[in-house]
Amino acid sequence: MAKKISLVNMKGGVGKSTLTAQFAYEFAILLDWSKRVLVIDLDPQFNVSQFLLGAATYDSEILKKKAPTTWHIFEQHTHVPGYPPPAPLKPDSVIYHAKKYSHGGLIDLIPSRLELAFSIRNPSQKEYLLSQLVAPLEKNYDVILIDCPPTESVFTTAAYLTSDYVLVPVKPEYLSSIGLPLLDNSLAEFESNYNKKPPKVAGVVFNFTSNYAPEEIRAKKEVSEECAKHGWCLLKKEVPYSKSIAKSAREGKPLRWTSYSRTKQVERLHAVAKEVAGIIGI
Amino acid sequence: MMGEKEYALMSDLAKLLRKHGPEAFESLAGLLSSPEFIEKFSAILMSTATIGRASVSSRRPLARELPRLKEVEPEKYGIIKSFMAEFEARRILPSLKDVNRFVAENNLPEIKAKSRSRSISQLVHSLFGLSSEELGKILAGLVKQGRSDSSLSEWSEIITKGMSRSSKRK
Repeated sequence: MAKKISLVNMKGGVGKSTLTAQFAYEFAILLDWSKRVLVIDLDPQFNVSQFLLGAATYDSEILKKKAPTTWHIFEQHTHVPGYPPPAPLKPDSVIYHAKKYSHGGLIDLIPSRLELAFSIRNPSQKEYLLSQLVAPLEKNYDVILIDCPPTESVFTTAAYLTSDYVLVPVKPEYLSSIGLPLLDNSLAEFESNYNKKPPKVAGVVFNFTSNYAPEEIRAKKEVSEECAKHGWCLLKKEVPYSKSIAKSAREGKPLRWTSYSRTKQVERLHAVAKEVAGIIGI
Repeated sequence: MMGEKEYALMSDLAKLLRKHGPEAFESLAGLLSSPEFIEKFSAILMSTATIGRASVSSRRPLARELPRLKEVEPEKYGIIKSFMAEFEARRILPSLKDVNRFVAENNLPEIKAKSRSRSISQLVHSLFGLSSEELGKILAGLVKQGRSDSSLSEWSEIITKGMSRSSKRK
């Protein structure tokens, strides 16, 4: 069965989508993993879809072919007056085969689109739709990575209902670290509202670090204390800031294949992926 | 009668179970009872062996291999020449990293060359084993990637178009 992990932080700009795409590449490409990875884009900003598909493919394969997206999952039972009642969505129909590698690793994607934002307007009873759709697909994958939007919504609940773990990327700065108590509150509310254990916090990972500014050192100390308070694991490895990571999104390639990316940076990202893999057992 | 080499081949095929799934294996086992399929399968194995022999001769210089390909498979020759022209002009696979990514994504043998310019010979030899149709698709994909696929203007158009479509729906 696939290990299902959501990348969550109630703060934007901490690198959730970037890490989702980079981890997907690491798990699928590297020979010692060669995992079958499914990426689910739950963010209406559809950044991870942009990263993995690029503009031309997104336009031709998703928009022009009217391919199902996460929006279709949440709106599959919406009845439009004057149209026949909607048929339930077939799980396989929402999968886009994004990448396949020689030694068996692959990346499939359930893409997102801007209109997903409209699903928040009428969220009732929609939170179970994602986990119901994913359940029969699980046997086809080793890892399922879910990229969550920064604001708490029906999508966050849907991600919790689908996941075994949450991974929390944090930028070592004051506002970013405030996302941690918000996450704790969100998990507690989930447990109380749904009478169900929330997904386990796999860990908190520092992203975009530089180990330079005093503010960063202070924020790291505070995050470390917050993690200890909640019994969350703070990952030993961290992802330092690198211009190549931004470039890899533009080039639509994993960091290790991005032009002029430094070996040291590639190794650091790999070390984080390896630590995550160890925690979730892949 | 199966010999050691054939057993080794069967064992390698069994290792592909994870990649293709048990359903594909069961379906292939079912097909093996059909005489027409056996005939086709045998033809595929023979042509694979022929292609294999051609790629084993990859140590032969391209200058000698290409004229031979031009005579036997002119269409494939044309595609490979375009591929080489695009490669030499750095319009496709501009770095060795891109070459490595390309071979990983297209089930081609790993490139052992240490520089992009030295990779061309092995790269082209491994393309000999593909059909003209596969080659055409691969080249079209590469040329598309070579253009700025993720420029802000392209995304801007997609987002604006998408939003105007959805506001019309309301």
